[in-house]
Amino acid sequence: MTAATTGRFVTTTVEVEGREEIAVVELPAFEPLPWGPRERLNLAGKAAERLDALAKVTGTARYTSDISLPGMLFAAALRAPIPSGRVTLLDTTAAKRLPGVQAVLTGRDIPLIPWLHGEPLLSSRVRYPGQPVAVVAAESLRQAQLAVERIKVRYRVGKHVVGLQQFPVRRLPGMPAPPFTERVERGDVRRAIKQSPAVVTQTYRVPAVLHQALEPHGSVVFWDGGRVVVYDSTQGVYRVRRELAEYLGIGEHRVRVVAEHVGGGFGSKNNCGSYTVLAALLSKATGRPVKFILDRREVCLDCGHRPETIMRVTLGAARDGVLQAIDFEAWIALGADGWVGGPGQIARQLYRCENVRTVEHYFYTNVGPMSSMRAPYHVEGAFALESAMDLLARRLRIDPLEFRRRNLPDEDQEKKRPYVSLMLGPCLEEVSKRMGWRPDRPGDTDRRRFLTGRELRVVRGRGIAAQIWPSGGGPPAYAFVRINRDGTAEVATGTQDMGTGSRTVLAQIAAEVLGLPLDRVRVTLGDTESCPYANNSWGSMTTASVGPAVRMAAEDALRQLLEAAADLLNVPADKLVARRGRIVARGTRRSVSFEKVTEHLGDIVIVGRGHRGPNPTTVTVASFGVQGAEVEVDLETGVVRVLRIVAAHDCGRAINPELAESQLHGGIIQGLGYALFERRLQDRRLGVPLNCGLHEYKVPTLADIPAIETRLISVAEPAANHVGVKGLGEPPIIPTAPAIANAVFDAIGVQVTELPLTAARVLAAIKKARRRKKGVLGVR
Amino acid sequence: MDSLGFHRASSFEEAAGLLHSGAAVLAGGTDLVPLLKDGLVKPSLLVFIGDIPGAASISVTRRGGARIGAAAKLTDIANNPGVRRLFPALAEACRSVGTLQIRNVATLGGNLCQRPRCWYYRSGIACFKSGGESCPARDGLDEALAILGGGPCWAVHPSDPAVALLALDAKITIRRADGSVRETSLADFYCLPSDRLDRETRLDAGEIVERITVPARYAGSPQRYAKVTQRAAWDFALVSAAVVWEKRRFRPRIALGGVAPRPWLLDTARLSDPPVSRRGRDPTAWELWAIRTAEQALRGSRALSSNGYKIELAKNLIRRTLLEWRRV
Repeated sequence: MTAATTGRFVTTTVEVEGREEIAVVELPAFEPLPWGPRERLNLAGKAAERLDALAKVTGTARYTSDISLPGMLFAAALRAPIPSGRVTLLDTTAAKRLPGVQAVLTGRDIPLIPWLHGEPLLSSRVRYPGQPVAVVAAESLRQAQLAVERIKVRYRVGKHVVGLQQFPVRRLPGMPAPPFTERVERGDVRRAIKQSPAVVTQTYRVPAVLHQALEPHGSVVFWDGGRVVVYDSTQGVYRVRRELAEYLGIGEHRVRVVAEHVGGGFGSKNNCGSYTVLAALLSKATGRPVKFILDRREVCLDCGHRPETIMRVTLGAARDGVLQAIDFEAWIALGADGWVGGPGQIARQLYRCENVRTVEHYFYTNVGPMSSMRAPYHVEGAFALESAMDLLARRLRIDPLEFRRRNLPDEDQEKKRPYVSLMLGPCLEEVSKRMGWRPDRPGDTDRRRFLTGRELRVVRGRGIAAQIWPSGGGPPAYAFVRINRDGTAEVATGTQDMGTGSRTVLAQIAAEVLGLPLDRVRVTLGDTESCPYANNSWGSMTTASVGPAVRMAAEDALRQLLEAAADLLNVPADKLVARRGRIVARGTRRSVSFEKVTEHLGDIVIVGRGHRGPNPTTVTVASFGVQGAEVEVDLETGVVRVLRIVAAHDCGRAINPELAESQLHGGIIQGLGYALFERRLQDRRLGVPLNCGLHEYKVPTLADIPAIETRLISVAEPAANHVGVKGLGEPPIIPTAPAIANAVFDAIGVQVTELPLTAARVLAAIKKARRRKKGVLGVR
Repeated sequence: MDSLGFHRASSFEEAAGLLHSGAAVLAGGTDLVPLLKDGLVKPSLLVFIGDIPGAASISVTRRGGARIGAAAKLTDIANNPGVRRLFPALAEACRSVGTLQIRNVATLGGNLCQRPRCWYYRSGIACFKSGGESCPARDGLDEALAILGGGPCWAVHPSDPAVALLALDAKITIRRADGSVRETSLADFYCLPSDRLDRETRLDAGEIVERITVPARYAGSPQRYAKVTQRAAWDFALVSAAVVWEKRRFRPRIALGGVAPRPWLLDTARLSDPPVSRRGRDPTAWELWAIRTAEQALRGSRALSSNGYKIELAKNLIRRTLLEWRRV
């Protein structure tokens, strides 16, 4: 690499989960030639077993809750049981006297750490049920919990606001910040709707749902003199380091954050949790390591959610089925805090439409802060948009699939530039083919119906829905590749593997470059001390961001090795390639094994450094996907069973198709839960959640999971980045719920406009269908 | 909970003797342990009955009916060939409980005595069940609550086997602390909140369920247990129904689950007789009878703000289950 010259660092924008972020980007001095679609690759693009599969299934993989340090204490928190109010009395004397108790901290005992809307951590002002009020560290977890029970506390209960029952709302009383509204409009929506011959309007409602990662949130922290070591279940070791250092008022060089294995995050582990800060403060107070792992109830109360949202969609189309207008208005109950992204974005992007208006109203409510959850806002928006699309298709008497076909976008309509590739059409055709989709005919023979007496008892239906997701990844992301004396290699990068398989995928990329078998490459990640910076594991960004950095680092290390081999073989370095564990001189028969070169070099240090270059500026990188669902609705019970999901998604080059497909499976199953079962129940009058456990909060069971057929539209995208990949982590959850809801619509002829599709709601819809003699149910 | 004692009972008599206030019976623990963890019960002593000789026995004969020990595992009942052959409704009800892992440890006695799953009660919110003086669910999210027999508590009874056993007219043998035994019908075992608020059964202090007896009268008769759940597994019934036909008089005994604070037995006297004998009946008349029976069954049901769907669901389920016998 040449030395840096002027213009090496430029400011650019990077898209993260639909948000544009401004970042300084380091321009690479050299970038490898892109791996195009015809590139012959040995490892990248082929299924390989997860490197940590054996460790995980045998229990040797150590998660944060498995960490045990000598002299470690256990922490437990006192949490407010009320949605709103003030702590009027807080007496910890009795708790402190209990055996085993080493420290009790309240808001008075800790430095002022701004938390919610500038309110300090452990504030006496309560904004949501489950808000931490005090923490205890004791010799055992039991002792800590007993001490929490002994803390004397009294509250003055204030007024609270739960959810959006008062819809439509203008303002929610007593909330810290005024509600804010985002408006985006292109074209003239009012006029377009007026002039559209076919118009539908419908209001859709989705509940707050929870991430329910298998591994609960938690940290083990040891504040040892000038140094804080944090084992954390997190999606972002560097973000936690930065935030924790800031909260504690110490330098980042004194904080080390480690996350070797993470048991799922789905967006709820993006930031430094209050448990991490409090464990650090308890460790400082006691001089001993402190373990603070939340239980499932605490996770349900205080670790984020996908917000409850109401969306009103008006669509207008011409007789030929060409969309004329999309009017999308949403009301979003964030919780006590949260970030603004917007369910309207997918309405502005997914289909070609000149006149689009999206208005999003955000509100604070008295429930834990909202956090990102797998394709945040798009999942909500897709349900409303895609449901309304089917409503309009029916109005127009056009097959829903054909209707979408007529409205495919031809470019990024917001940025007025092309997509690097626009795979929505191919995904649509793939699902159509796999499902044997034929234009809708009432009484289609392939849709079996079951009778009780003379009445229909069970009906079947099918539905589709589509998705778009910004998935290009981007800088900054760094990696080191070190080549050892024995011919093995190590990759170090500060990303995480929260179960997606990034560890394996990155190893495949490095091994590909080095021409080594996979078992001679090891990836170290999730450690701020040994790995260079990489961003959070979020936004479906990891492979597209870190992948190119790892490739570049491996190329850099290889270049150094080849220079050494050139001396050994007496061949110019640019004539050498690494292939199948050997360094080969092109056009000759001369070669030398990889380890012969490294052994020859002895303890010479070869370290390659790689980083992610800037994104293309003239094209938009997005992943598309379409899913089709077949369902069975029991007309007498209202119970919906999903029989089959067909999914076609586009992801550029799939480095490991098996892992990519397992992302599809995971997203679809989570989407199925959103469609049929999941919701946070919260009592309006008392303001407290009612289902803070995996018994009452219903995620899908194995018995609920249908046949899932996945199809990757996998074509390398050299214009996106030089590894040719696009993101795939979040997209598969987006279309599942609307596809299922549209299938139910197809089956019973009436839309259920609120998720989840419970028996009660489906029965009510069936009743409505019968009354109106609509669809199949009106016909005897 | 400051300290928790544990005692392994060697007989039901000994167990009953230990059941002073503050003691709880432990068998499979699938309900008790979550209650303990959620702080909803705070016993000082756990009396384990799983080791009592014969406590898990299952004996079934066509002549003698079924005798099932209180500590018999649900999996064992569901898989017992005699139960499956002679009392398929009970086998099906046991099989429909929770998950395989739960059924492998959960016992019949524990299942019959389990506490309600009301969201409010289980969240530790003060209510009649937890010694409070109001029902927060009545004014809150009430879609899971009772449509029959509710008030002042509306929590529904969650057991599946109890519904089947009620339709099968089962008896419960209860051991007392003094060693004596009393037997009661399952119908009398359960009570309504209007009778007793803190518990769902008429078990008194110092009493323990020892055995469940199913009379031979219904052995091998046509019978069915049908359960409607939101999830395909690991879910309590939205509504369930057990239908058991008497052998001689051709009239069904029908019990419902998920609709009332106790397993709900329909008053057979109030139901009309099926149109004709089973042989050669007229399908239309049969269907009309099934519809009428379903209507009669739900007479007196009352919906709260959002649990009305259960009325329709229960009617449909009864009708469907009765109609299935046209094909028998």
